[in-house]
Amino acid sequence: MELKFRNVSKSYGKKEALKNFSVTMKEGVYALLGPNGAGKSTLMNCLSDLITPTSGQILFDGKDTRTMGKEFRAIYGFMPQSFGLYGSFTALDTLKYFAKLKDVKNADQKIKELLETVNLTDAVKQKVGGFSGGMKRRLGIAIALLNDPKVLVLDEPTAGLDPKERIRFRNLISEVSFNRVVIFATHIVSDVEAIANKVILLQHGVVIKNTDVTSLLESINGCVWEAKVQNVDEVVAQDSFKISNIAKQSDGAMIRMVSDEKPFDNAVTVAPNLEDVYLYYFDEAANEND
Amino acid sequence: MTSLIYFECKKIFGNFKWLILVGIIIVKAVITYSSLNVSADFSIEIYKDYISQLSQMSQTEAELYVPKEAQRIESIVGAKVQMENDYSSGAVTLDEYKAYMKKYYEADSKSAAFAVIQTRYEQFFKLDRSERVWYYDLEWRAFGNMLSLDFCLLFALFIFCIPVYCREYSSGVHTLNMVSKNGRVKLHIAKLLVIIMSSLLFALLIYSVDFAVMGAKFGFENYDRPLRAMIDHGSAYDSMSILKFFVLQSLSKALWAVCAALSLSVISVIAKNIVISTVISAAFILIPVVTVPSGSKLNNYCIGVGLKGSKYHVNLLTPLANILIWLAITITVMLILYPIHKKSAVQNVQKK
Repeated sequence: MELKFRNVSKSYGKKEALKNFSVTMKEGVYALLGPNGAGKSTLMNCLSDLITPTSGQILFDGKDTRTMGKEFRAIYGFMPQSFGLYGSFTALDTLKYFAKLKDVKNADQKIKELLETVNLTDAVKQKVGGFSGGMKRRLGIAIALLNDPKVLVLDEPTAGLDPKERIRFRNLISEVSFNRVVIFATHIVSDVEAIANKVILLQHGVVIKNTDVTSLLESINGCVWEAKVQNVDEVVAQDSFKISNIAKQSDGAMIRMVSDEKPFDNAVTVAPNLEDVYLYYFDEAANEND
Repeated sequence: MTSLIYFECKKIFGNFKWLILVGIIIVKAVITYSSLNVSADFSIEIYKDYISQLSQMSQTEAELYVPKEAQRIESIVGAKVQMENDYSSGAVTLDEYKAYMKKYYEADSKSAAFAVIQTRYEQFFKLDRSERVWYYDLEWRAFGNMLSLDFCLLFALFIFCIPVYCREYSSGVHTLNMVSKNGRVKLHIAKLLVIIMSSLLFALLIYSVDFAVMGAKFGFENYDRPLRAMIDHGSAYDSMSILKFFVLQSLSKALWAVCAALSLSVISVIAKNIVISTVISAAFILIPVVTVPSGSKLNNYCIGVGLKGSKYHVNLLTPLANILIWLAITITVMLILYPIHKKSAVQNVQKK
């Protein structure tokens, strides 16, 4: 199974939301990481055939997904960042409706399993209009999984979920990623760290990095520092390095920084995490573009 | 497809929304009932018999019959005193007296009802010959006037058909539908089928109410009377019964209701907002009713005019042709606007 993006670009007038996005994906979990306006949603909407790319192709097993049309949608699952539901339908009605829309076989059994998976069994007869944001999101995930998709795309899937549900979701994604392509966009780096096989950093529509988590962290080895300082405000005002964390203490503060060079005499290097990666690459890319 | 139709119906009528339709039917029944006044005359069997006889005749025959019948009744009723005297004096036998009294009771029972007929007859002959459109009953005339634009039907169409598309956009479900296997063409077909079936259902219910109330007030048996019994109906339908005319008119207007529903769906796909769609739809249907001159060829395409119906002709081919035209417009609009809608659906979601 292979999902290939070949020079996919999308422009809205003069603004280029996506520029020559070229990535090949096989089975596994791919995390799209980037700030707002990076092009994550644009990419997902191009893949979902909700918008037409200005140029380029998206191929699934060698076939253009737009040409495939219904055939591709049959093996595709998508949960957008914002979506609506029919408020007067119950959770069960909603899943039955989408099961019909997606032509799901053995729908009743599938629905029962999914409701257990997303922990909505108790709310099955409740009207969706009365659902909390987190419940709607869980229902959205269930809808995306109804047709057992080979390509699963989730835009901010864990937004609004509590930590317990977020862990449950991560486990679910890990389970289902065995024989499918899972793409998810998120700002929650802990989700990326926990389940992503590959991370794609996207900024201004351009791919900055496309690699696994370990390689990504190694790429900024030696660039993450910690130092104890007395006057935090002075340090912050210097603005010559990026501060990822300030932990106030009784005799000063412990600052975690991202910098190519040693910021202070007493600074020591520490193991980087994905937040540091985010800070390093996106600020750096912004500076280069300037 | 059946399941998709079921869910579309559930979206329209679920969550007790069907009660709105029940409310509309009740309001319709009340309006129809209160706007029709049955005169005391009409409830009298004898009066109905005269109407029935007169409606079978041509105008010339009726003009001869009325004074003749008036004379007959007067001569019989007027002879009562003389006959009593003759019987008392033995000038007539008991059998002759009994035979006369039988005729007397028959004539006397008819005299009050016939007096009403005669009054109308005299009014009729005051008119110029060219203005003499013979009618037999004011109440059935009211029935003829009922053939006008039915606002209860329009209201039902607006309430139930406009949200079929508008709600998808406003709620944001549009995106989830479009990424589903059957969420494009098949879903559109299901929606159009539901819109067509619903509009036919609403028309059937509304005109059934008219039929039931009229029949209950005036007597279902009177539906068999010739159409000539009603004022203003064209002579081309002289041989048609009131019932047949009513059924054909209702069928024609039901087909126009389908056209109306399809036009509402096109407008709601373009506008995507319930309020805006309602305003545009109301203007689209109602403005031509008052602006397009009667007799103009444009009337063949005006949905509002079609929904009004006509006392002078019943046409099923015109609304059928318009349904095909509107189906073609609906499909064209979907095909043209679909790529734009994909983009706007995404933009709406991104704004949220």
